[in-house]
Amino acid sequence: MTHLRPVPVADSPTWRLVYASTSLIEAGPGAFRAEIADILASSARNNRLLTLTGVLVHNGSRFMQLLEGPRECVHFVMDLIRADTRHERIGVLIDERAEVRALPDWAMAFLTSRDKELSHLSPDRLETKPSAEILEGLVTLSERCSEMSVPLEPPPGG
Amino acid sequence: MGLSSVSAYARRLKGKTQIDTTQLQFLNLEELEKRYGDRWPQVRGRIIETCESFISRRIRPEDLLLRAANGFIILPDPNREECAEAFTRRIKLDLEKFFLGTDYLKSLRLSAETRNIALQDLFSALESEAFGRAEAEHAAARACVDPPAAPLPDFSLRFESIWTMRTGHVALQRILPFSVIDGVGSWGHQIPPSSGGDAMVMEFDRQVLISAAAAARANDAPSRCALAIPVHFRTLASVKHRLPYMACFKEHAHGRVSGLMLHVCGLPMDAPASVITEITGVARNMTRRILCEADAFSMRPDRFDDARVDIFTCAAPADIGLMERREVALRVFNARLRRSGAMAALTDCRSLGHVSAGAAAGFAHFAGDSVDRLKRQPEKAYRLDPLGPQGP
Ligand SMILES: Cc1cc2nc3c(=O)[nH]c(=O)nc-3n(C[C@H](O)[C@H](O)[C@H](O)COP(=O)(O)O)c2cc1C
Repeated sequence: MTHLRPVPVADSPTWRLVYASTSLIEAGPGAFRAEIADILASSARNNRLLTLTGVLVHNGSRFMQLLEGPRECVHFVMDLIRADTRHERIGVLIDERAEVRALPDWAMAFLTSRDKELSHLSPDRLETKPSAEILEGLVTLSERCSEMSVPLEPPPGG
Repeated sequence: MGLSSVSAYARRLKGKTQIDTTQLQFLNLEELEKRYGDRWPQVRGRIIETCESFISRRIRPEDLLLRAANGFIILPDPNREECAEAFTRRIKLDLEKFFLGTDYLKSLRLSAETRNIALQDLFSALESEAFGRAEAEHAAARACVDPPAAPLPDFSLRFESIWTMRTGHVALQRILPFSVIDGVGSWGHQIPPSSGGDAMVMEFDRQVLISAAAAARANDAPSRCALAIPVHFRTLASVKHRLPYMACFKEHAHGRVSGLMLHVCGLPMDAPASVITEITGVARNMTRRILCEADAFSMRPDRFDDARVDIFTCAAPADIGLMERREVALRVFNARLRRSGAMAALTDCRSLGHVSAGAAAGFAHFAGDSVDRLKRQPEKAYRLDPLGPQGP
């Protein structure tokens, strides 16, 4: 039997959203581990059920996230993310229709990226970047997904 | 199905590390497509809608029914009691009967399967080296903006024998972390809430677990004592602290060392029964047997009825007189625990008088300076008679 993927919203176009934000997760033993565990657990639950895929990149002080899936689902989760007090200065860089998903395999891969690797994607300079370049940077980074990730399993296994 | 109902369901999954789902898949839609030709889109729509309404009448409002490209996915209410396999069988049978009695559904073939979705992948991610690097980079970045965070106290482990009076043996040792803070030695979770709160308590418990598992591995022999590893109830109480702890347990202890037991500490005796049951349930998910710190004088045993604690550890009061005056109440307390399948250990026995008073009050196990001295390594099981002439 093949794996089933839910259809949360019929006939919704595939959408892509990328934003960058500044982390507000406190310093102190355990704080980062607990908050990221919580974010990844929410992503594992919500993104699987809503068939969202993507990657969350962290580089010490900033987040950048790519979300792909049915348009309503992407925006539904983005509203939750926007209201989250663990980050601020959220700037949406890409919000557009996508022909195919750039990263279809992960409910939410979590990557850490040293400044050097992210420098060409530095969120401060991102506003001026063409979206294709931003996306390409994220896809290149995500080639390391197997290192640390929450793979997409559609809700009932997969 | 609206997005908010999916989200509400997802929220109810919070804290669950796995869930069994039912997948129903139509096997021969392509065949039917050929048969119906141009009429197929309408027929297909009708099949899906009829089946959806049929299934939704057979599930509970708390279950979630999702459409899939060629079937349905049923996510059960996380608190459903019916076993997943039985539920899947029942729904498949009902649907097949329904197909037989409905003209345009007669030739539809269905497969049904129970599948488990687990957060196992998340666990390995949380314990990966890359995560450790991300954590270090976060700390370095925050150091530029925040005042320095209070560090985790350095600690070393001590092993305290828990003596079973009936057998005269020590087959269990509890682990006590010992730290020196500002030149003063202290035991256990001496972490003020202002210096990192629950996250720091969790991190302390993680580090204790890693050290304890290493000590247990180094001493892994059939005759070794079981080890009780302390974990603060706050680490297990919320999902975000519980997950990293469970990930750590899976990585460092699960399946590698047997004879580990979690010892839940600091649980407030007036916590609601539901909270107690949840926290002890999380602990029991990791080790088959668990201990729980309790106050014999204020504990309400009925609140622990569903907690399935194996051994309660109760600190003896410094004043033996108090135990003697409350002997009847303590005896009732111990009898009540025994009826529910648990036992109590009297810890902090500073003198043999504590052991005798505890024995008179019905305690089964004893620990403390007067029973045996603290060890720096776990021990093999051994015979001990603290009351005899060679006692400490
Ligand atoms: C940087 C960042 C990225 C996040 N990404 C996701 C995500 O992809 N999916 C998701 O459901 N929640 C994500 N969250 C968490 C949400 O903001 C929110 O806490 C969560 O969706 C609440 O859902 P829950 O109550 O089901 O846990 C993210 C939070 C932050 C700070």
